[in-house]
Amino acid sequence: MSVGDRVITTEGFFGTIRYVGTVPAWGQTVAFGIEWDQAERGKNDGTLQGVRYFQTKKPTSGSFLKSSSNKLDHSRSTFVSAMHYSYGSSEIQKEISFGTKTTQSLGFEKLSKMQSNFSNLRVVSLQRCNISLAATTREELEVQLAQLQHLTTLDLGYNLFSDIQQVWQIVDQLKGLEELTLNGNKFTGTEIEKNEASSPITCLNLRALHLIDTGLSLVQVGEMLKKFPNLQVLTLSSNGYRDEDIVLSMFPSSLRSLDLSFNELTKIPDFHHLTTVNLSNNRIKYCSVPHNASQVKGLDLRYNEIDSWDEIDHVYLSFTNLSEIRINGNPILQDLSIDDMTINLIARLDCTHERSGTGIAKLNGTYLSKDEIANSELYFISMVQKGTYRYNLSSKRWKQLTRKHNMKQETVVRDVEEITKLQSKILNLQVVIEDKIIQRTFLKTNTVLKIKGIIGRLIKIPVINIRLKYFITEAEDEGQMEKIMDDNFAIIDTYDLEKGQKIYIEIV
Amino acid sequence: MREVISVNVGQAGCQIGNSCWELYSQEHGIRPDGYLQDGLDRPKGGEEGFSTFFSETGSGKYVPRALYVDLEPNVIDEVRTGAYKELFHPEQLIAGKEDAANNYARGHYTVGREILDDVLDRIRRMADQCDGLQGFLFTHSLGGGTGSGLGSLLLEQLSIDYGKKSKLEFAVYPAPQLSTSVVEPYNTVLTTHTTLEHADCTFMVDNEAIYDMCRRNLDIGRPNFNTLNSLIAQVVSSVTASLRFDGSLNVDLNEFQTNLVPYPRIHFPLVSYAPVFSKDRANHEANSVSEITAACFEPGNQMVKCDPRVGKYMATCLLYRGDVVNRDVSNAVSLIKAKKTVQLVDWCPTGFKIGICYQPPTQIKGSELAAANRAVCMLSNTTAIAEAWRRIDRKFDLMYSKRAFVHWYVGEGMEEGEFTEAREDLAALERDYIEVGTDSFPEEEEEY
Repeated sequence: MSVGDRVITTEGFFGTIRYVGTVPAWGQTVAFGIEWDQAERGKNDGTLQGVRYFQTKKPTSGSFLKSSSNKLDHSRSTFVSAMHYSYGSSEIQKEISFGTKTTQSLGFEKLSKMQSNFSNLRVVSLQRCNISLAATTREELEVQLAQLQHLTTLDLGYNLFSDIQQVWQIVDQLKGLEELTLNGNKFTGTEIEKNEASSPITCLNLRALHLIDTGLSLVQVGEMLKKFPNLQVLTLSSNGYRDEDIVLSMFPSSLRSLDLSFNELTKIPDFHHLTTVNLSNNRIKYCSVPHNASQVKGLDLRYNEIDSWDEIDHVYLSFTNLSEIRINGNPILQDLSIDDMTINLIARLDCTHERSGTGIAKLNGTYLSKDEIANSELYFISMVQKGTYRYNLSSKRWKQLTRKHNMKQETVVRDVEEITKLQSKILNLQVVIEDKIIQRTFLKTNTVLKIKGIIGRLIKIPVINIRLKYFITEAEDEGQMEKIMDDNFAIIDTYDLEKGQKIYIEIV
Repeated sequence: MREVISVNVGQAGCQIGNSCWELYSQEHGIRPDGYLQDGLDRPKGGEEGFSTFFSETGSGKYVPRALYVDLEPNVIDEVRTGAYKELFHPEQLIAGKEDAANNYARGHYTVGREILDDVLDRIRRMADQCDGLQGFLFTHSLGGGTGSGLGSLLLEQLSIDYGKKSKLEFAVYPAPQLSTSVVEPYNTVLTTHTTLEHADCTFMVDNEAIYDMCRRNLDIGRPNFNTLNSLIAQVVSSVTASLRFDGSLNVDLNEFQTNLVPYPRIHFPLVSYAPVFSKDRANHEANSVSEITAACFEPGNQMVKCDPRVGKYMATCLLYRGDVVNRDVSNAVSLIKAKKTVQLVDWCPTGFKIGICYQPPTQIKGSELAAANRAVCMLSNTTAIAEAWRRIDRKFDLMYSKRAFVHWYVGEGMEEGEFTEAREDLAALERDYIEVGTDSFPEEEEEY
């Protein structure tokens, strides 16, 4: 074991050796100074009794263990031995019994037989196998890899690799590989940069690469990516990246989907050609982007620090071609009920039904229906007019909303003060539904929508299906001129209605 | 050779049917128009298993062995105009004109009867095309009018016409969050009573459990029926995978029964499924065999809300899919064994079966559920599921003690006696579950 090697405890904690040597407390026994991946596992910062042996990144993520400590899992395997152990064993599993009953297994013999012929394998997962090396000899590795020519998916997550070259020895030979997972391995930085330049081998088929919790800097990732010119999906979660680290120009132009969740970003980076971006669980507070982000179709901003509606309005303005967004879990939405949150988001962002062209069809994981969208938008508009919700009435979205719902600007401002006396406030109308006539008194300040609501409740028909009209000339001859009350937010007083006039209901 | 005919009844049944057939056709490499995907010369996963669910026409088109039945045209019209409209033959889609209005009596006696002959006729024709029909797979809700009323009527008729064939059900148990009517408890109790002796095995899917799963595991605050159904489809697919793909445990519908149903009335296995993760979380979770196996024993992964830790297991099947290795499965099962929470009844000699299917699960397009390399579905006959019956019985009693809403049923020609009869049958079912859960060797009497 030497500095830079990875260790794992029997309890499953990962760490990196930072110091090998003696410490006064244990005399001649060789001690390991270990920096733990989970800071809570540690005790100090690499200092023991006032002497600094190594320096950890976080103040309590270091501790010392005897090299022979039985807290450490000392078993190590290679890629080749792990393959044989997991997939190659043809032994039939021993019977397990629950009390007097034994378990019966079916299909296992066939499976074992199929799997032990490695050329059948398409997917191989060797998670948590304590793998630190590719193989003990080069020949052994070549024999193994020659058998795995049909492999498309390889998962080497949570092993003990510290040298990326060991991984490349495996991956370079697997020409058909499409997906590679290296989560939870911490690679030592210097070796990557040093060797990468002299490694011209590229994996043309690799589409997806997952590098969660690898501690690689983005410069190192950039070097790695030169191997994968056709990469489409890249996962870089939990790597502690900050705004200044992100230089997206280093990503291959084929990249479509990028996952930067669980990092420490505070603003939305420049996306260039990406169509799907996951930025959840960062510290993003501001959503305005100075650059063009119209190619982004899917955006995930959950659990960030967005605390103002203006920022959500910025999302609407900046991301003009979104079709999917997740944004729940932000402080601004915290105190709202799920329904209120959805109403606000639907109204502020441009949402549409799944099959009807552009706009957000999937909000926080759920496809929206037409009725839901129309209801939310109408409700939002009425709340803005009442003053319950505050919204910029000269914004682009407000204009879009008013146009969509056939609302004329001037009706928004109501001249309520003029009407003072009670008598002048009410209006008797005859509501004609098919062949029935209902007498009803309305307030002159009622909006058309309100009247539709009252009538809708009477005849049990949703508001959106009701149309109101009246005849400007009541004469029964052919010279009738009809006027459709299509502006939902107009006050009925703005129409020229007389006391006792008939208004007609049409059901659409 | 061993064909299975799927019958989807009512709105819930048809919508779940849609999600399922969409998933099946993706899993077998069939395009929405019924032809093979480009680059395939035969369906994925072996001819033998494939032909249980699909039939092949002369032109190389594959047609699901499925029937959609609803008393009102809306949902069926969606199938007729939807993306998969060409997959089905128009004969397979039967819609009435007048709906059941959430009323069991309308589905079972008045409106449902009118289209019964038509439906049976089409089933007969479909059965005639089969070489060796092994049974039927029903999908319906327990709370709605069509699903409960017409569904039970069809089951009754099928057990007359096809006595020996297995009849499996996927039944949607009503949930308050997604309730469409107050009379769901009535419909549920009535339909359960009617089908109790006709269905051979009923997998219940509790909307509330799925709803919670969507919220907790997939972080979807407001799941709608689409979201729920795509999750249900994944589970149904796992259960039927063993019939559709070679090399697994239940190659035969009958085996489900023999494995899981010790008494004809105790035929409601609890279904659990893992992993249920959203795409963004999937990469963070290890999803190893032992983790997904352990997850299956967590109440959060169950399709019905109940606590199996207080009940006893009569039989358990673990159905693995995808990239699993022997050794991992053995280890995982040993870990489960170490948990003292898994208690098996002493009188049942069989108990724990494990099956494997090498086909990995497929992701439905647009679903939030992440694609996984491996999945496991557990079917367990546990006495804990009686809790679901207790819950619905309580709600039934609450309304029936005041005879609320009963006139809607009587008005359709039903007798009030049927309510009492059904309720008593369910009470008997609850007692049955208590009985099978008690040990056969009584504890030694201490003193006389």
